[in-house]
Amino acid sequence: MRCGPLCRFLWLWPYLSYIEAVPIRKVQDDTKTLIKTIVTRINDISHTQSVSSKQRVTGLDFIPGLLPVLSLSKMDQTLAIYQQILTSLPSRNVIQISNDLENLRDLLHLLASSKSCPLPQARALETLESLGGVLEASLYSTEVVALSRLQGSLQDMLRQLDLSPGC
Amino acid sequence: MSCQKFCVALLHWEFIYVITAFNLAYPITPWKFKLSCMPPNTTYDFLLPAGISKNTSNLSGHYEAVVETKLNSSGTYLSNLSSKTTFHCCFWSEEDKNCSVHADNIEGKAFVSTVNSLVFQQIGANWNIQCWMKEDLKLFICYMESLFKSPFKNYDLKVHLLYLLLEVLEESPLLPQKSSFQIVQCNCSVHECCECHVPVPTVKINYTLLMYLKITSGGVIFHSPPMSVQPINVVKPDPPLGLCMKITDTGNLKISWSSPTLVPFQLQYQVKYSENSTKNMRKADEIVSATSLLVDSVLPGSSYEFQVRSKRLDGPGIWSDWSTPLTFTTQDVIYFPPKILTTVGSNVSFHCIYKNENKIVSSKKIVWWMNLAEKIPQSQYDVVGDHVSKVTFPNLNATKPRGKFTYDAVYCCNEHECHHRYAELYVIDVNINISCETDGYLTKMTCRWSPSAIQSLVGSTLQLRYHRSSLYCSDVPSIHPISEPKDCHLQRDGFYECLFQPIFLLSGYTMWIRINHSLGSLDSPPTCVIPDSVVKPLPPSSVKAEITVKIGLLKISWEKPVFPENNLQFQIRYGLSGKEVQWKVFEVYDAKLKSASFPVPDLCAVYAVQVRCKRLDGLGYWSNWSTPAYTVVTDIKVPIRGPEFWRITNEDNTKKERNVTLLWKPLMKNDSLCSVRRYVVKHHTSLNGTWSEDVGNHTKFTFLWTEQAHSVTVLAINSIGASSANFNLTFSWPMSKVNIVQSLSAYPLNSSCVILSWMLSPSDYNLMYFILEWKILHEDNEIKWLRISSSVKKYYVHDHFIPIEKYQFSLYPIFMEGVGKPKIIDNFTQDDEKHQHDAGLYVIVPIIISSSILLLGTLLISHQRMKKLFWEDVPNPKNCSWAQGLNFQKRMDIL
Repeated sequence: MRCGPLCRFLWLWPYLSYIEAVPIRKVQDDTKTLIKTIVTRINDISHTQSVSSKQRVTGLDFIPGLLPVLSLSKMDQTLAIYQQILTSLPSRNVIQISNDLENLRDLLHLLASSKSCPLPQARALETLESLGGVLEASLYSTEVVALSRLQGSLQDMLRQLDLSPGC
Repeated sequence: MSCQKFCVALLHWEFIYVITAFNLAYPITPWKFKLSCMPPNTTYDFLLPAGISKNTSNLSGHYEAVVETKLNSSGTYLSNLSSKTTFHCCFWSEEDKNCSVHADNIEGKAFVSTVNSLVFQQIGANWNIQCWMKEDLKLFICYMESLFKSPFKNYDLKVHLLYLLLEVLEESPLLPQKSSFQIVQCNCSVHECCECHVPVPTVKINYTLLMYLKITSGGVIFHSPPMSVQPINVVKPDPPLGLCMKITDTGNLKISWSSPTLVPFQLQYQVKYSENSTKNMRKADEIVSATSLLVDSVLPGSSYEFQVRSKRLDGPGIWSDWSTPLTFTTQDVIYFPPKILTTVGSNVSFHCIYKNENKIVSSKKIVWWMNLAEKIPQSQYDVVGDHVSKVTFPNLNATKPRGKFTYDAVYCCNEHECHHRYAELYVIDVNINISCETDGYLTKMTCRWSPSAIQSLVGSTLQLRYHRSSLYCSDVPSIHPISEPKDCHLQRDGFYECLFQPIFLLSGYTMWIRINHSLGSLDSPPTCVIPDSVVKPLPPSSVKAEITVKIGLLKISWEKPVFPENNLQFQIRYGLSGKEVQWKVFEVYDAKLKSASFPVPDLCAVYAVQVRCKRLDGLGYWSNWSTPAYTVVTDIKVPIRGPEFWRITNEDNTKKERNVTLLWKPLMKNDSLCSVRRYVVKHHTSLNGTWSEDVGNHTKFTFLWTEQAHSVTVLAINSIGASSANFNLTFSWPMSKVNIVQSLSAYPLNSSCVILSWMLSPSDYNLMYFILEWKILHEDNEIKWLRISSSVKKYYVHDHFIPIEKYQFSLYPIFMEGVGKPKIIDNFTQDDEKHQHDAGLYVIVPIIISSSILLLGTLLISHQRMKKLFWEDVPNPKNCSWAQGLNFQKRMDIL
């Protein structure tokens, strides 16, 4: 328990050092711009455009859905899952999006540290252990649904960021 | 014979028995050991003095003396033995002189007895043996050489090694059988040296190798006791290779060598070296675990000899053979470091020891020179020791290549005498600018850099290295210890291009160029790039340009590119389309704006329009210009005016009706805005009122003038409507007699310009303008005309006037009431005639002069020819007898 504040300080240190150099306003702007960029990237992937939003795809529950209220930690966790899924996809289009997600998560960590929020390292989901089997059987569905849901989640995040989300 | 067979069988049985007890096998040592054998009938009792145990290993010197006395004739003894005699043998070594003999006792049981080896040395046959594992860990070798003055040496020597590789040395008395042993024949030379090769798989190097030797010489068979070894414990590395010596930057002598890579353990090295100098001579022997050794206090003009050998560092092993000796002789002047490669702005130092005529120069007397041209100031010297001088170069500038020499030569001199050897200083400007650009899709970043700054460093290789931080760049980029190389490809323009794809848009890529050279490596100053900050967007799309109808502005519209999502600024440029467009550029800072309008002077011209964009915050690059969009020329407004027109009439004044042909020039685009679909002639007479006639695209129209006054107007019609301002012409009989032009003069300036001037008399009519008409006199085909403002009194008419032709000029005053009476002149004014005469003179005079010259020339030629003709009759004194003796040049009185 004595270690608590010190550990917390040490954990925040790399991000605090960034905060010193980068104005938080820029971090916020970059976060929003990056979200828009990823959304546009997904739009540009042709086969995601033709997917009907009316049809629900079952069996892919490990892909996060839309969340009404998002805290910074929840956003980070959600993005971590998406990043994990996209990294597993062999499609070349999604590698860049996966990199963008990593940058986005770093930005969220910066935002969190500016609010003195401890944002724990998102842990890998156990549910994703079965991802390999799902990918093998239904690669297309996984990619399309993951990108589609990611797009929705990002748009939600964009709205939440304007409302100054909590930790 | 049967006895012999029995003995052999017994021996074999005995051997197997011994084998079952092979935990007694002699453990092979990493060093040499000996095999000693003696005949079987020799009792050990006589060898051992009373009171000394058979198993006792403590043998006194007294005992040795006794043995020596008793057995001093072993050679004779051996020579008397019959063939197929089997000897009893034992192993011993200098470290352990006890010899364990395996033999039968009286009851026929095998026993093991320990005997002093000295006994065997005296009466038996002896061999030196050494076994080792080769460095490749595949071959086990036993080398043996005979020690005794063998009486059998005249016979064939055959040696066999029987071996068995066991994973674990078992203590069970059941294994192994003799048949399980494998046998190899050893290679023996005439010098009674043999080498036995046992292949051992590398994976079994930790197994136990159980062996015994069977030596046959001159019919005598020697069976060694069993011996055992783990090959890993007797590995003998190959001698070290690649010995190299150099003087270090700190003035020490460094010897280095390469370590064998095959052995699975660390090695230690023994280095022996000797120094031979005029000052002293020293020898040393050192054991090190590294593959190099530093020898301090190196002296100039000395020679050093080194040898190295290696052995397993931890655990047993065998020293390798000594390496080939390496000799190194130091020069009379030693620079350390001998060469320095450094960057611009850095500080470096050279040290020097100078030996001159067998005497080392005092460091206080040493002076330094650069390139043998410039003495280095003493303020840069330092005395490091009695003999070591140091010079420091602060804040270095780049080395300027002098011919093929790409370094500065630094000389260490003894006052006024410099040794020819020098140190080399390479100062390289490593300020390599790395510029990066992210593509419009934000998926790849291309970085470019030019190696031109360091081309002078021959033999260097360049490599871009980078480190990616998770977000942004630090204020002061620094070279990170963990970095990755990036493949870059040389382009035709001499630049290297490196591609990062995919990218982390907001990560900081710290990059630098590493220059690798045999003298060391240098790093260019690092630069940090965030891909998001160096975006070159795609050019705006859907660029359109049009001249707005009725408004008459150039309207340009565009769509912003998909990326980046940041706010953008735009640049628009437009110009009249053509080969070389003169662009006008405008900036648009409103990111939401998608179109802009500009007034343009020529509404009926084709304009080329391009748009480009860049981030509004100024980061990144301008995009390329969009592909040009062109305006299409269409009718913007109604024609500004109708065409100027004139008429031709038949000159029959007597008739009341006259045919009038109207002529007009087609309207230019600037007036028609921008095209004319047709012309309409509008008539007005007092009797018939007003009516119009569509002429189409024709520029000539004839009508019948019948009434006293007939007004016509020509209108130009385009898709928007009819021209608003038009010219009127009224043909009126009474007005055709009104004469207000008093005089008209025409002065030719040259063949393309004529000045016309006129005088007017006052009039009550409303003069609108003049029409000047001109034509070649008496030729009605080509009548030319133009409209002149009423306020003008002088006019320059530009046309192609032929000097020899006569021209008629007519000036018509055009009144609102009708066309007045013209003033007509048929020639240029008189002054002009004089000028014309003068012009004629200018032509005639040269003709006369040239004719005169021609005539004169003709006369001269004719005169010459005549002269020649007449003198043909003058006699030649040489050919004519009567003329001989006459001097034709001398005047004769007769003449």
